[in-house]
Amino acid sequence: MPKRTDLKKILIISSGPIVIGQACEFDYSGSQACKALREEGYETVLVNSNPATIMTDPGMADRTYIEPLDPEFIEKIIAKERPDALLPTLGGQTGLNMGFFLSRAGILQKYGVEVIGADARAIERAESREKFKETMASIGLAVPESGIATSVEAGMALGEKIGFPLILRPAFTMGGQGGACVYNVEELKKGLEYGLEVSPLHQVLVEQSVLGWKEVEFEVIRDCKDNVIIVTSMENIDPMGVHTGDSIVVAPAQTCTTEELVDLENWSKKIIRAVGISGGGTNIQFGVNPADGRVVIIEINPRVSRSSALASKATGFPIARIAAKLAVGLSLDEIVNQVTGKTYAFFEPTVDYAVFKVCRFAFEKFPDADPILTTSMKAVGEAMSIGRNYKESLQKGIRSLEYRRYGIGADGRDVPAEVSGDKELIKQKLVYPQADRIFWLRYAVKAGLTDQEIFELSKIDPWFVHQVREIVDLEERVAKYKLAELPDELLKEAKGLGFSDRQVAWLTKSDEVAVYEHRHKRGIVPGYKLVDTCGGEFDPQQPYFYSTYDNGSDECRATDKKKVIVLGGGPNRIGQGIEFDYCCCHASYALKEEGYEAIMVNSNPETVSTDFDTSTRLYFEPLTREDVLHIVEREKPAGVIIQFGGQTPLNLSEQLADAGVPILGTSVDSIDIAEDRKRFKALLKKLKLTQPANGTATSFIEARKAAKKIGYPVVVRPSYVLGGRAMVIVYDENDLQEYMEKAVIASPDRPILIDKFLEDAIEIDVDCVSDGKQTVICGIMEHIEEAGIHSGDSACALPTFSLSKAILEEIRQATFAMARELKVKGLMNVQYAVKGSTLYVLEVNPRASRTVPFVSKATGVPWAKIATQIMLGHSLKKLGVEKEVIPKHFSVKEAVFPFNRFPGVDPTLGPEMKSTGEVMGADADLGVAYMKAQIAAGQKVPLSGKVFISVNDRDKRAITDIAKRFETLGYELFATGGTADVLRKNDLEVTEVAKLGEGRPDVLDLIKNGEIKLIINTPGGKKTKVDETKIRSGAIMHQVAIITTLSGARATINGLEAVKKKGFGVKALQDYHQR
Amino acid sequence: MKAILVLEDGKVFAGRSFGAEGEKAGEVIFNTQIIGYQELLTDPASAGQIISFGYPHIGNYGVNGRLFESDTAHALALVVKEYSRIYSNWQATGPLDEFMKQRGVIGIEEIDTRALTLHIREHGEMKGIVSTRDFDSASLLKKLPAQGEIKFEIRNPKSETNQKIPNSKSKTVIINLGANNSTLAKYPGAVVVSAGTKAEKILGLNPEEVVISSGPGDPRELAGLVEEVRKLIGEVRVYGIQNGACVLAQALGGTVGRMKVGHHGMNHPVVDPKSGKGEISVQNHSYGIEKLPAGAKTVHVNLNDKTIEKFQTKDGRCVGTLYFPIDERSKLASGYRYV
Repeated sequence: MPKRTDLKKILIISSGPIVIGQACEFDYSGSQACKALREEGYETVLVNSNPATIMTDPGMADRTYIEPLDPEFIEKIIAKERPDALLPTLGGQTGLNMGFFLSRAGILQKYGVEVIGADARAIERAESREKFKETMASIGLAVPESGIATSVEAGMALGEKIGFPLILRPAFTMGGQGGACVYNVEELKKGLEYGLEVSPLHQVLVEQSVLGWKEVEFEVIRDCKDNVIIVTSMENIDPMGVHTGDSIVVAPAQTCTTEELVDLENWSKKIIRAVGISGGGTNIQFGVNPADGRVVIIEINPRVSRSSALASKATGFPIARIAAKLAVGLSLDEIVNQVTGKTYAFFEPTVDYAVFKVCRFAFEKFPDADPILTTSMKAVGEAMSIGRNYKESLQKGIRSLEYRRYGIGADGRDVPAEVSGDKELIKQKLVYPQADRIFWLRYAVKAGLTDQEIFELSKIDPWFVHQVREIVDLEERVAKYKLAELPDELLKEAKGLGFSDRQVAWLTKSDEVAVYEHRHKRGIVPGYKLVDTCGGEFDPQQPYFYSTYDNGSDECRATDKKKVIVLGGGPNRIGQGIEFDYCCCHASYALKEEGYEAIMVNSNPETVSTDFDTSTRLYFEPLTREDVLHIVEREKPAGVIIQFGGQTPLNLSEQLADAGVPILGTSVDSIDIAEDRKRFKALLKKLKLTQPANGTATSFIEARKAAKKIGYPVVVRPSYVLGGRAMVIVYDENDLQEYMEKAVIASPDRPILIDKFLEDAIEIDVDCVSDGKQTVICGIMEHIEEAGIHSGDSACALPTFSLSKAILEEIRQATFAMARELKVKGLMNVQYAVKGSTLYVLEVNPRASRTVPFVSKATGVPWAKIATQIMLGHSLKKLGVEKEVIPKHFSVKEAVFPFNRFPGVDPTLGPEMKSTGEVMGADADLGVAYMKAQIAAGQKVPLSGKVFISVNDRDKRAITDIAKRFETLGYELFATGGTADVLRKNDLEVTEVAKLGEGRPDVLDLIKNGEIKLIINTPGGKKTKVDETKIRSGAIMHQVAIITTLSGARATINGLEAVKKKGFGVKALQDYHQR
Repeated sequence: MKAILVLEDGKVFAGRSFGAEGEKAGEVIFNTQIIGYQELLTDPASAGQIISFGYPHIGNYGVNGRLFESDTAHALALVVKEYSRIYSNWQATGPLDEFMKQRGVIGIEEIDTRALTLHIREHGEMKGIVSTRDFDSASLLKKLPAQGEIKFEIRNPKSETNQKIPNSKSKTVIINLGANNSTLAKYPGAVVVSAGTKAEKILGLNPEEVVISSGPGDPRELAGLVEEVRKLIGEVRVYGIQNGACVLAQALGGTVGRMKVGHHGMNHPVVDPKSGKGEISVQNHSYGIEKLPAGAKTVHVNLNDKTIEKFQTKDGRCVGTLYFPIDERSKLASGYRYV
């Protein structure tokens, strides 16, 4: 079928900020869709509030709107752009829900916009639990016994009828949010209350539990000719009960017979037809009873998803790209398979390797969160690994996670033997899945449990357990030797089972570098094989690569052309995410433009950087010393770019430089100056720049001495960390003692850093680019929140709004001086604080920072590309980049937090980063831009209604002015005792509300009843923390807007005033930055 | 224990033995399926073949009584990257290597089967010899039989019971080149006759349709059968499956030939060349249609290489299919009813 010619302009709604359950896989799929539709000659309009994405680069779509994903804004965009069609299946659950909502609200009809990819009826059949059940019943497929509850009472009755345990699934939520497994009446009630709250339709499915059943997934695609293909099967190692986003997943499925798999595939084909998707794809999840093969359908997602991104990367079949083309009427047999270059999209990919996906969690950031994995997703990132057997890919996968684990064990980082040998503990760890369960499989094997016993406790299929056993067996054989005596055959066997040099070193009492060199002397090095979609049947044109020690055929396609390796950022985590992938992709694009081959190394399957056509060649590999060095040896690049991938490549820089690898851009020594406390201090002294008073300590006694000298409050943190890990503000000696004793293990080469905390200072972020001689400011950003909140969690504005010309000039000069002194070639980020009229340098990072994509979107300049060109030897002068761009409009960046995933966790901000993503709001008016960012971040700030205010004593004076302005705008003020007194003294009308435990209704009641729409609550310290946490966490769970800083409150009232006066408008990025 | 595979062109792959021990020569085929080892082993069409799996883990779900394509194993040997040390499935009745040992199928593991795939892709399918006794490649090459000398049985014992169904109302006769159970199951009560049966005798059974089954070997060597089938054309509907389709094509006046690399996998797209509508099929054939018989038309081509996968005469009474559709009844390869 030829593509449709009645459509000219297509609107794509993407997924917004990175949150748990929706990460950069939608940047990957959205970018693919934009490219695919443009290839076919369609005009594309893209809406996404997330500035850190590649897809929101002005070149990706014809019209790019960085605006909130909110019906009001999208309608404005539709009215302005008048697209012919809307493609809602590429933007995750957010995009799908939005498309469904717009369709239901009649907005699409009003403007004559057709939904393509999956029509509203198909979406409803897949997403509405009732319709879904009906549809499945119509084809004779069993659904777990279940019913829909729209009230707690109805849910309780249903639950008791079906019987415990039960699974609760709120309708239309993503990543299983609000989902729970409940075992008794009390848990059921709690789960229902919460689930009804978070479901946009206030529906919860109460379902028979199939806990412990095998979870098998399929990616299925159907075109308008009714051609159907299965892209791949995937099997979750963690069976039903753990969300698939939190599960370790292998592709293809390993433990089903032909009959079982073909059966499931046939069901899948029936499902996609019954649901009515024609011209798109869907993910289908089945539960299979391991005891008798009984099958139930769990759910389907009629859109691209995290699983479809994984399936794409695992097989080389770009699902999103194909789905976009099918949506405009092309059929599978007409679309060329770009990887083979000679076959078509109508086929089923097959593999000759084993793929392993493993998740990265962030529980260390949320110590109060429940660490047990359930049906509500908690992982923040993932890594994928490929090997020629499951054991090889398993161990590569674990080292790809960058948890400082170098395999499943025997890497010197196992828990002590008395812990790992505790059989009771082992049983607990197997029964209750946590992030580290895979390591406990090994401990269980070592402690003598049988495959069957481990299966019975964990429900992990014995096949997978046995793979771990085979690793353990080999580990024990290797441990009998010293490195020099280790037989080559055994070493090769170990490498073939994925053992890292670190593991071999630990087992043979050697060190990593020695093992690496020993191997090379013995000729034991990996070869490279291909991801080619076809199991070697065709000679592919654009494959990608993975290393393996099964090297009968080495298919490395390294050339003699000039080339540069770009090291990616590995799995997403808090503090290191899509922003760095954005920079890495730009490095690749720039390299290709400059006539170099771009060689990408990364392990993150969600990203654009691991798309098969982003770089000249892609190596899907862990980012560790040995894996990177092997590639360097084969490719022999002119250099390696390490400054774009965040901390991951930076941590490797010294090891790579020591091994003689040429590092492009800023030198490793300069990086060390910036990171080494003493050297950095000397640098600032030389440049006559000021730093907050500071010191270092390796013990409490030293710390006490230092803190006393500096004066409280102080900020304490370990050295060499990312995202402010374990960083806190300490107000007195007791807190300091607690921190030193509990929180941190310090050592002489890794001391604790102690800085003066600058209270009420303004914090400033500066990104600049330098060619070693000349430096140009990319952007100066002023934080909305005061110093003390991690810069990644703080809202900020570009350009600045309250800084004097003199201070700005001082900032520029200081930045130039440091860039010059550090001989920066490429990007550098500096964090400053201004207190009074003094400028303090807080931190310098001679690498791409988290803010680079935001600054690029705000200024309309591709800074990462320019930095790459500099690293290749160009000067700023030659590139014509010599002037700072100060836009006429304001761009505000706001952080987005995962608190709704962690009920009961205090959502206050501090020096430790907690956000997973970011959004941007832009407008000529700062207040309007700020409010756009708030809406985009999901803060439902009401335009009228009741405001609850409760602030600490320090903030009481300043809050009166803000409260007055809320009153003027017509809000009703509510407050607890102390705050109410202060407000009343200032002639404000306040309704006093009882504190928790001092009578009802209290604040929580008002929150739960939906009376209060906005909460301003600044933390009062330890004494009030317990109650405040309840209030703040309650607000998050009930989606009440909450502000926890005074500066945030001030920005909000400024914004509300501006919005009331001017209203919201929408404007495309292309219009902001007209050339 | 050691095991070795030597290809006709001298290329050697050394690995470790599993399954039966011994020495066997045959056609070396690579298959891109990740599942279905038991069906392939037991399909009579695999007779004379040494089958290599690109997918690294073979044996994961053991063997079970439901996956037989005939009562015994027909493939000579399996070549794999890793024979699974554990089998795990509720239906499994035992491990694959036990099954292979009992039926004399040699296994070699620790082979870079992707390397073997690429070698065949480049140089074409060829003969090879596997051994767990003799590791001298020159000596093994000498034992490699000349073309056409690879011996195999083309009977599926199950067909005997099929024949004995009393009072059958079936109007189908199956000419057995090595029919698999899936095909037989599609024609309950059909009369199964051997490949040497004369046309007169077949017509004497009063069938409405004659099915020439799939089977092993080179269909060009079945000249006698081609002659007999020619006599059936016009008298009854004639359907050919895989090698059976090659026989039918020759009987209709077309030519068939050996493909450089055959189609062996379960991911092959077959489409109507005009509409582009089609399905994903299971394929296991090394011979294809080179020249379509006069008066016949192409119904389906393989979208990958555009070779003919299904043809029929203008009157629709003769149909040949090189592929197996994936069955509704969750069998891997179904027999196909052409009505």
